[in-house]
Amino acid sequence: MTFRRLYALLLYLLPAAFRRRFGREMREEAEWVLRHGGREGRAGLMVDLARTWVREWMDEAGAALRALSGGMGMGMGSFRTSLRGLVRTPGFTVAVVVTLGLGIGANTFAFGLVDAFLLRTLPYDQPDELVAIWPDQLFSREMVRSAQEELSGLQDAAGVSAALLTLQEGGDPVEVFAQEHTTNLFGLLGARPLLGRDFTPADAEAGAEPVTILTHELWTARFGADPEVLGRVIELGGEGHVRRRVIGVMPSDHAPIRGSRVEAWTPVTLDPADPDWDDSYFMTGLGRLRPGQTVAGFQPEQKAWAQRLAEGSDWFADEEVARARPVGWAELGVADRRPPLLMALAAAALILLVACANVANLVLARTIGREREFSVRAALGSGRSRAAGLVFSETLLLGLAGSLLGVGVALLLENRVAVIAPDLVPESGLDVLGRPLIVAAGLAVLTALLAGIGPALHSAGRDPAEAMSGGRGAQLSRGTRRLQSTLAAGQLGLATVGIVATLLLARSLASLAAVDPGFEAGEQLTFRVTAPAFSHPEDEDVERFFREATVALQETPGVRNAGFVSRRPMMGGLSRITAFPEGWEVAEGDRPPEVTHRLVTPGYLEAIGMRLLDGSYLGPEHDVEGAADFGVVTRTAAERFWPGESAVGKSFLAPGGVPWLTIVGVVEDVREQGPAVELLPAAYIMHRNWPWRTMFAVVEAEGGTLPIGEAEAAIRSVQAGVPVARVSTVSTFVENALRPTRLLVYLALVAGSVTLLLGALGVYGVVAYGVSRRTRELGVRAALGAGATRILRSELGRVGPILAMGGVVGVVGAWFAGRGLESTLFGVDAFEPISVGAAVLLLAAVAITAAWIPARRAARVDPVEALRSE
Amino acid sequence: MPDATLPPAEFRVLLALVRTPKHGHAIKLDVLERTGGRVELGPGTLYGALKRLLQREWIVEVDPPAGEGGDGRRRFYALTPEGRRAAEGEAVRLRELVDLANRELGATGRP
Repeated sequence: MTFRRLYALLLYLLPAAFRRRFGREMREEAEWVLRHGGREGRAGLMVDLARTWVREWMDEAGAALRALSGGMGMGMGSFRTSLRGLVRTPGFTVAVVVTLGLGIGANTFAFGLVDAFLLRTLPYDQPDELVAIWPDQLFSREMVRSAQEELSGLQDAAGVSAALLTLQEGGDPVEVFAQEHTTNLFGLLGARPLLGRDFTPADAEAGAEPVTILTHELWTARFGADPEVLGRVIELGGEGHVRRRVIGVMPSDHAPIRGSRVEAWTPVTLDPADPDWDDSYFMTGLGRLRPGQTVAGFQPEQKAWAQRLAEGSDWFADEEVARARPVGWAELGVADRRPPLLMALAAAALILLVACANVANLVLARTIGREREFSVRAALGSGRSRAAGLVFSETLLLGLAGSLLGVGVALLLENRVAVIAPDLVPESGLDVLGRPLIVAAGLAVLTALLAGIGPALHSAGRDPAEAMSGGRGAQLSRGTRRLQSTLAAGQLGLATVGIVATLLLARSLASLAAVDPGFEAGEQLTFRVTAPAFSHPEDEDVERFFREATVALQETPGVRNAGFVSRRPMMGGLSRITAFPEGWEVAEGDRPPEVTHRLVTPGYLEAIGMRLLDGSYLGPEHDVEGAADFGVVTRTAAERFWPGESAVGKSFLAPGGVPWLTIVGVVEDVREQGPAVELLPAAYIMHRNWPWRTMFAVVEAEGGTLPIGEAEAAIRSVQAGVPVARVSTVSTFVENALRPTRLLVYLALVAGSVTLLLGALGVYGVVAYGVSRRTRELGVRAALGAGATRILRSELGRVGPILAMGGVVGVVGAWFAGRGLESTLFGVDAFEPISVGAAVLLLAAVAITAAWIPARRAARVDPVEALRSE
Repeated sequence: MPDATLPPAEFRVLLALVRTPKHGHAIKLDVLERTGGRVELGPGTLYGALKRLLQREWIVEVDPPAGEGGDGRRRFYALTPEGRRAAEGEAVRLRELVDLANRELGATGRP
């Protein structure tokens, strides 16, 4: 986050009216200081902002209080009184503020996530008009053209795809994430370059000079934000070109559509007469609806269009056409994130509810303890509403302090989660200090009011005379006791829900981790390599590069096995081909079976530790031009296509019945798509079939992991300066595949433990308070001969109803939580008596322990002491 | 004249506006110039002062003078008669204070 952005964010901490009036000018002023002031300027700006913050809020609070003080009877006076009271009882104050801080912080953070992914609007012109035309389907150039011409519901359509380029600009070449897109994309988004110009159709024509537009980030990082770069030819290789002329730089606030890591853009032609034209399906189709058109209104036309396309082609599967529908661009990718996000929000809400109940309990206990004080005030003529106002002003102060702490907690959580689950936090960071902060402040006030309502009513409803004469020995009113017990029971119930969710998720994680991945998740080194376009422009060169790199790695001392693969296991990513297995009859009207595939070089299957069931692995002898290529299939493929016989020696056929891939071996199934995804038939095919430019190396070495330096040296002996990226070990990235579930367990565990702790405190409070209020009664009972055991038992018995009520709330809540989690669970039932039972038992144990401590004190009451204490 | 202090930042803003109406940034530059670069009002200090002065109606927002700030982005402020009186009052109060200090501390030098 740049300082400017931080400053702009921090302005949100100012009162809204002030910010609206002066915010822009303050930003401009700060900009001036930054340009003229340097480092000292920054510190100065922060100090200035902090002072302003305090002053403006005090102004604001003063005005609000003056406005309020008339009706509510809670003027500045009661705030001052409350503040004094809170400072006098630091234990109580700290307990409440910490409780509220946890609850509000968790909610601020969770809302920040939801805000970032589910609520934020896209940073483009009229974002509601942007649609993914057919999100399940990759588009060919022809499809984009057809969408432009035939879909009348769209103003325009564009295609965009990812490309990995190599930039050589002083020093070693680096990988550059790029997007290739039709030349109308920026226009469609309503974006304009900061410098230079947008692409024109002429830029994508055959024979036109290759051009590129850079992101502001790449321009700044690699070219020092030098405007002279415009018009320069740079070495940005890949996709058939080595050099490109820079024609534009996008502004820093332009968010690349699909994929925030994009650093440069290149154009794609849509002219069928162009020699670069091909029919491959490689783009995402993006459209802009006509004004007034809705996604739903556009759907029938899109569906008819998809059907027309499907009639003229065997590319599209019938069921895919049947499911074809456009999706608003803002909805894309949200579905995957929704369960963990809502889970986070639910966990946070749970914590806040419990925190609220706990604060209410604490405040109630405190109010009861101050009955005498209130009564004296009442007797001296201070109205009842003023007593209630005092309680409210106190909880309001506590709420504000809690929300301050909450913001800190939220920032801390953001940091932690960014480490544990980077996918869950948007790269731009969370706007925790923006809208979420407002939500947090609202929550603070709401919590304070909720927590204060019971106690305030209580204190307002007391008759001064009764309360004063009651003194210490008085019994609590029945209503108050019931309120206290209900709060404690609610906490216990919510804690049950948290614990059940933790148990379910933990067991789910355990079964995920126990799934046989089909390979050795060990200490093998793995990294990504891109064959540079400037040294290896053609397919043959790429093929040769990876063949030589494989040998170079294998010949490195200490290496047992090494090879390359197009996608690492567990990474997902379906690369499907239609296969015609030898001897397999495809019935009329049926679609031939599909096989997912991975491209490999010899040595990969051994290096990753796949288990050979039949035949042999792929060796250099299979990496040759011949009548048919050689491949290895998984158990699922072998059993599906050639049940009951050996797959070795069988072939997949090309149209016309010629074998194109001969099976030389069968390996155990591999979880290519992730641990919980259904196994599909898969084949491992020699890289030479489709020489992908970017591949992953897997290196198995004697005694652990090969140092990356040695691997790099081997790769660079083939071609100097090849960039190596995403270095890790196989076990590490397998771990990462389990990370989302791990995060959920973590969230549930935190929520569960916090609620349990708060619940236990609640029970303790109820019993302890009862005991201390009835010291005299207990003393009398002891004096009359009630044994210690008996008193202990009767005091413990008070927990019974609380526990029963909490248990019922907990079991019902656990049922709902299980339903909510169902889609995330793996190998565990959504409602499991064992987990629920365990949670209830744990809860009972905690509640009884919490009650035990004060109850034992009660049992030890010395009658003489107790009676004298009055 | 009651002995209520006017915060220095607000006093300086009032003084900067005595001759001509100015926008926020120009006020800051004026203060900077007149103090030889010693006093730089931070953004919050500056606009906070403006807000309070506006509330007290010691300054008012005016149309930009012709030929200046025609882009409509900058708001200009001018001193009101009350504002001028307040500044004068503050000056008297400070002078009395300095006189007192001089007498009591025995300082004789005049700046």
